[in-house]
Amino acid sequence: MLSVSEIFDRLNLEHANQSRLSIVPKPDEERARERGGTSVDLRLGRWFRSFKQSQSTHYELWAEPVGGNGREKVRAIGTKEHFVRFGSEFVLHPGRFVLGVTLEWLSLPVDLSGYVTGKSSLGRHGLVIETAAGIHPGFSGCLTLELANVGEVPLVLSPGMEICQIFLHKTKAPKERADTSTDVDPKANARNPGTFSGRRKPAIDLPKVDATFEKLKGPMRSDKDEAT
Amino acid sequence: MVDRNVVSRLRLASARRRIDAFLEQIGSLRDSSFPHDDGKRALKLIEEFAREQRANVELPDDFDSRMVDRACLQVAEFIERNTSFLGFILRSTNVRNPFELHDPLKDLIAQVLGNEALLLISAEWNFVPFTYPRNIGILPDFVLIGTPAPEAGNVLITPLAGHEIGHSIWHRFDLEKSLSGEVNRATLKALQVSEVRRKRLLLEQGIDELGINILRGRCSSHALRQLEEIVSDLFGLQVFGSAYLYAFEYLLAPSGYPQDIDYPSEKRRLEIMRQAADGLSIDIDDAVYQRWNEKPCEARDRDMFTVVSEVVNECLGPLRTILSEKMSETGIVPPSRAAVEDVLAAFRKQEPYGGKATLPEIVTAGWVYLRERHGLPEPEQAGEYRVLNDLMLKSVEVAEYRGRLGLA
Repeated sequence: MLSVSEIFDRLNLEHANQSRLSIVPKPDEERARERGGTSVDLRLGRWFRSFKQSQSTHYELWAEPVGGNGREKVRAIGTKEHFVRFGSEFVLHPGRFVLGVTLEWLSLPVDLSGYVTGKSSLGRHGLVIETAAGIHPGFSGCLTLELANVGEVPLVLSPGMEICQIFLHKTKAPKERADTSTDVDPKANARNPGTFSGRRKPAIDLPKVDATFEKLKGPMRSDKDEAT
Repeated sequence: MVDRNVVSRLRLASARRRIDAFLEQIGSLRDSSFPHDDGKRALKLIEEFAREQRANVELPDDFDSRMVDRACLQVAEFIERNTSFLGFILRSTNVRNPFELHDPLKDLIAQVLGNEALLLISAEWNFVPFTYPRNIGILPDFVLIGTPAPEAGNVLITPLAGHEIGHSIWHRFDLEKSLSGEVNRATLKALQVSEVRRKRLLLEQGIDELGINILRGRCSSHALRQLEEIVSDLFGLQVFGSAYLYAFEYLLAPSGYPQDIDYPSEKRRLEIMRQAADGLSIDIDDAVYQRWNEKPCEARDRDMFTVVSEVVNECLGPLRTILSEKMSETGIVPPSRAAVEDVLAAFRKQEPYGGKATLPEIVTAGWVYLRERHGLPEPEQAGEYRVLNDLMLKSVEVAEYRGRLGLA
């Protein structure tokens, strides 16, 4: 795990350096170094996404491939975006859940990965932020935060407040695992951004159905034989 | 015969009901999520005017029937004139709008129009480039910037807001008054070029021989409208640099709209902007100037258009001098080439720019990036195009963040 000092060393590398880490806007270096430790605090951004009440009885948590499975399609969960300017507030009521986003845009080099966690000082007041979400090498974008009020009183959130922290690890460099890895070169990533890369608003894409899941959720082979 | 008071009672009841419905509409709009306060202030202003209208139809049934009719008509006109603004305000709250642009654009407007200026950015369902009505009597301090509804979130078309602000500049500095003497002289000269043409023009315009002053007035009026459009273009160019022309091309090329007599031809507009860009040392991709189609005016306006074009050409020199003086008063300069390069370098690395940059510099870098990627024409590049938009908006947000923290 990188220390704060190592994180800032990475942030201060030349732009052309492939090991450079980018956090925009850059966190206050002096304050972070003074505080020490192994994480950097990130601030709350200005976009939120809440969930709409609807008539749907349920939602599937996967995205069917194009063409679908022949069943009537369950619509994607309805959400509403909110923009809260600096100096304004968003109130999260007890039992409610909303997606937020970090103010900072992160770009990780190929040899760093990390995870984001809430701040314990906020957690103690009932604000739960994500559950150790991983950040992959080559990631680029603002981090989507799952904010839930598990306390008993409404909590006021305001853009710009420190909301979470990231921890960063070194991963095996691509050269060392060239034979086994299909790791993304950040330059290539920039030309073909991934699903969760490069967004300034909270993302809510569903995982796609993969071949294994497709087979698992389909009928048993023997059922198929009977049907034919 | 129907009792006059009965008619008045019915008419007044209808007028009251209509204005009450308008006020109710304002009430429900007030509950919208306004990302900025200007929308709320606009609603409040409209509400005040609407309440005045409501008070005007609180007349007794036996009041002078002509006065009753006039009050009812005023209400009808008020509602007709202002309902579209309620729609505009409502759409300004839609999250498809790039709300991050509000503060930097407002700062820009304040720089030229003063701190009292207010701003509404909204999507237009009936968007027509450059023809959004300005100078709304009911909202005198507001600059309204309409964007085409399907592209409300597209930052790359923001430079066209420069054109809209340019119209406000025309009025704020009363450039019409400054140029009218020159325009009148040039019109007289143009009408004296050819007697045959003048006579044909009078005939085409349905004016008799004694009405030469009417003809001169019409020509001058059209010339002033064209000059206003040129001022707006030049302002957009000066503020947003090459991005203004790229956005102009994006929405208008290859054109072919019927020629409106109150606008110079698009080809001419581009020529004028090219000269101005050269004067300001703004680098512009030459492709922008290529392949613009033109449609002539309607037959009856062709001579008029020729005369107006001559007048406009005569007045371009004085216009440039006046505009240059006004621009130096505002302190606005074109985007810095070095800053654009810095922002562009960040975009190439798929990062927002973390340093100090203005909105025009950020958008210019966006356009340069897009053009160096040949417009991102492939379907699989749609993601990159979307990311570019987000990079620009995040860079704008970071600039605001830095400004609030007082970072250099």
